[in-house]
Amino acid sequence: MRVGDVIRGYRIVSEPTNSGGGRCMWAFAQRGGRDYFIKRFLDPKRPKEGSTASARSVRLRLEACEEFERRHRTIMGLLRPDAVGGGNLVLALDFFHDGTTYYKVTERIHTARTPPPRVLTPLRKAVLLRTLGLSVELLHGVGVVHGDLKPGNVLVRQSRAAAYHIAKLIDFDDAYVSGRPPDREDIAGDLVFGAPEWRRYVHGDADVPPEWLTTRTDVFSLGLIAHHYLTGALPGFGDRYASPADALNEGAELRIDERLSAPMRGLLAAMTARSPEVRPDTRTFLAVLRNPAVCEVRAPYLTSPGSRTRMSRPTRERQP
Amino acid sequence: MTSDQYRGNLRYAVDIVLCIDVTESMTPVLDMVKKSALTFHERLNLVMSGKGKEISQLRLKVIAFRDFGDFAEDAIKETDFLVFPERAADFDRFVRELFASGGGDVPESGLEALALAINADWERGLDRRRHVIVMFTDAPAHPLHAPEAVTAHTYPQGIPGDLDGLLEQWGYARSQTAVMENAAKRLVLFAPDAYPWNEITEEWNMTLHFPSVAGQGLADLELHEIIDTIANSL
Amino acid sequence: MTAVLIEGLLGAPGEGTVWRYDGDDLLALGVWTERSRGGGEDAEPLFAHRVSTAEGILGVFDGLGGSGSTAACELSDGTTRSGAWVGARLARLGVASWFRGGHAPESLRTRLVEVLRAVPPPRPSKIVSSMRRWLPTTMATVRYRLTGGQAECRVLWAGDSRAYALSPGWGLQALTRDHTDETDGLEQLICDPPMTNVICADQEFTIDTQVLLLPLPSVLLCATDGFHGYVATPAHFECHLLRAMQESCDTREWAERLVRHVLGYTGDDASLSLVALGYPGFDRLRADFAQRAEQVEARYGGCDRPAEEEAARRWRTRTWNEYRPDYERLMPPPVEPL
Repeated sequence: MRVGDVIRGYRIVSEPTNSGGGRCMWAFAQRGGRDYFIKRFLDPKRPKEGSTASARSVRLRLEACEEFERRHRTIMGLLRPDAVGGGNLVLALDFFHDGTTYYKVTERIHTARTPPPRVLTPLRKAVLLRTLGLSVELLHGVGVVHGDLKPGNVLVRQSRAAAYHIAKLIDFDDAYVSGRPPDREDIAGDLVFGAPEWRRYVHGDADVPPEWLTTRTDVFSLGLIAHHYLTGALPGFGDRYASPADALNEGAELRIDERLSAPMRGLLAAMTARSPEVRPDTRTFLAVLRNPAVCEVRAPYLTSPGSRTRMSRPTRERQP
Repeated sequence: MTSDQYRGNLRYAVDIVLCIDVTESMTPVLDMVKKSALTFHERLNLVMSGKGKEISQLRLKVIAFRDFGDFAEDAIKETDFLVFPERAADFDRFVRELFASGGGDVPESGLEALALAINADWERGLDRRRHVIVMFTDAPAHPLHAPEAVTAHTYPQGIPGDLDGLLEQWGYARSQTAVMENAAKRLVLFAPDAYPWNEITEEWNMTLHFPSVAGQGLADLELHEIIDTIANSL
Repeated sequence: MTAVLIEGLLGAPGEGTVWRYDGDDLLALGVWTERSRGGGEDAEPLFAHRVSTAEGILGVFDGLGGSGSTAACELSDGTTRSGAWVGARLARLGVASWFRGGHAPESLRTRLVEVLRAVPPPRPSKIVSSMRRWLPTTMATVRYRLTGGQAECRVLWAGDSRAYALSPGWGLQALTRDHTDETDGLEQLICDPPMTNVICADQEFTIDTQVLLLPLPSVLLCATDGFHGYVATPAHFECHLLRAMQESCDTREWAERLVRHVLGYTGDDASLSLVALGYPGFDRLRADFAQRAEQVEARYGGCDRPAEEEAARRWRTRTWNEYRPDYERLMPPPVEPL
């Protein structure tokens, strides 16, 4: 895949890159005058036509490809782009293999440079978080775990100046059916935004069975994203740990930013609880956000207004 | 969630093998490749810390190659896996001493170098691993076991007889013959769009190809792509 | 925290400014009034709270016009202000910076001396009477730290500005004892005794202090004598506070009502800083105090107060004696004269 290539009618218009892409190369493309985002998967690869490899090698590779296709088509079947409220899920429009390689196509989201969410007003923050929450709720409603919720997979978009900022949720390639995650070696996820049970699962902890990885695993990441959007930082987890999940797994506690409102602190503390079963679902998240005031971030130091005048000249005795 | 076997943070091991073509034609770009190699460790750490992530163990290995068919004595030169930052000085010395010369005909022994890289002593411990092979070459490669190469007394023993065999060692999701760990591995090619690199890119999984024009060096070498590849995959 | 200008009641002289803060388990309000525009010698009431350490401070400062009015300062805006006006503001500034710096209680006096000494006095020959002080002001502050369901309070004061705790069970409880020879609260109201200790730039002064642990939720307030020195009995100040609270539907309205109430009875500038700690919201605060408000209104509100002077005096003494034990339960003991 390189600039100028045409793959299934999609003409590649930007230099393909792996930047931020994990197990894929990606580029922008055009077809029929419309803009697209195209992903070229690094894995799996189909055996090439006329492969001279052994029949067994060809068969094993084809089996892996069938399973890959099945997983993607299952998720695509559950997440229809025309579903009500699905407008902020950036879903696959096309999924195919061209020769040995799999491709996935989504609409291209034009994101102008937007300010970091933390500088938005409480109302704008609430709208942004609600659009994100609604997208995640839609996934969870059909039993799908996104599996890699992190700021990099949320595009913040403002359709025109002064409009509200909304969140577009992307990258469902690592999504899985709740309770049925990929194998420990294969599961995707982010080191920083991942949930404690995900970390333990990856770690090979036999006490964490696959069934523990559910939609509540996403809720943990969503809580961290919300904290990040509201304050510009993750909850405090101490220098000794690499991530919030590590800190929790070690018995430490997360420090939710005290400048946040009490309902928000309560919500985020619950969402980022170590135990998945005590985390609220996205409906609770959305309910709390109904009041934009919960997105207020207080000054760390409150002080009452005082006198603004200053002494500037020498004092003098007042004449009676 | 009461029982807790969890002990310690997830530890990430990153192993990187740099396969560097040091034949004559690499002269224009070898300095840049060397500079990239020497600053690699620092730049990777910088990007990782920017993402709030940390590598628990980083090891680098260099395989410098020319052409077995041209001159057997200096066809392959390699280091062990060198742990960073402790062995950084050994790494620096090795890389600084690399110079471009020889090579004979246009194709080089890049596949042998790749085969040696695949069969390197990769880290199998720690919690999560990333095994990356980076190939820097401006030339196509001779097929494995090419008659003029295989007679060289320095020709490595035990490497696969052809590209299909090497693919079986590289592996795929359900492979039982792979020597590489499927989830951990990445192959990054800075190589021309010619045999065997084009075929490898086509059929091998987890492979990224940044094509260069054969015989014209690696003018478009972009180190940040490798660093991104590693940083984003952890 | 935004300030809002409040006009006095129709016909009442003066006007006031209020601020309020509604946070998590933290409600605060400030009331500042002046008898004549631009002449208010009370400093703006102080409230500061550091979220990370759950500690804060509230305070009031009453510049003493009588003893400091002759000397004056010119300000950067070109206006001229009395030494009392400046003294109160400087003391406020000193206390705020002392709190912000996280300094030890013992260092407050030093800090105030530093701040006040920075203003050059008028030619010394002009100040002859010991009654005339340079930059004189009173102060009442409470520095609190919230810890384990309690408010750890350090009360610091000089002169006749006061700090109080207010609770549904005990009502209004003074945390300070005025620096006057007269120690009886009712007598102080009647005779307005001279102060024996005030903060100033040119004479020795002391900062009195006491430490208290109060259970949460808790209401703390500081007020200058404009609030507490113009009522019939000490209980009436509580009546004003609770009546205004019960009539209001939020913190802001409470503050605004306090302005109107005080402008209706005071003869001086009046300022008040109040914080309610551990109350989730104003509604809960008001509900908690509803019964106390009714009781105190019924007992001391003055409906059955006799019109005839002698009878009224007896009524005041009787009700004061009834009110006094709870009012003084947290008050430091009087200093015995040597």
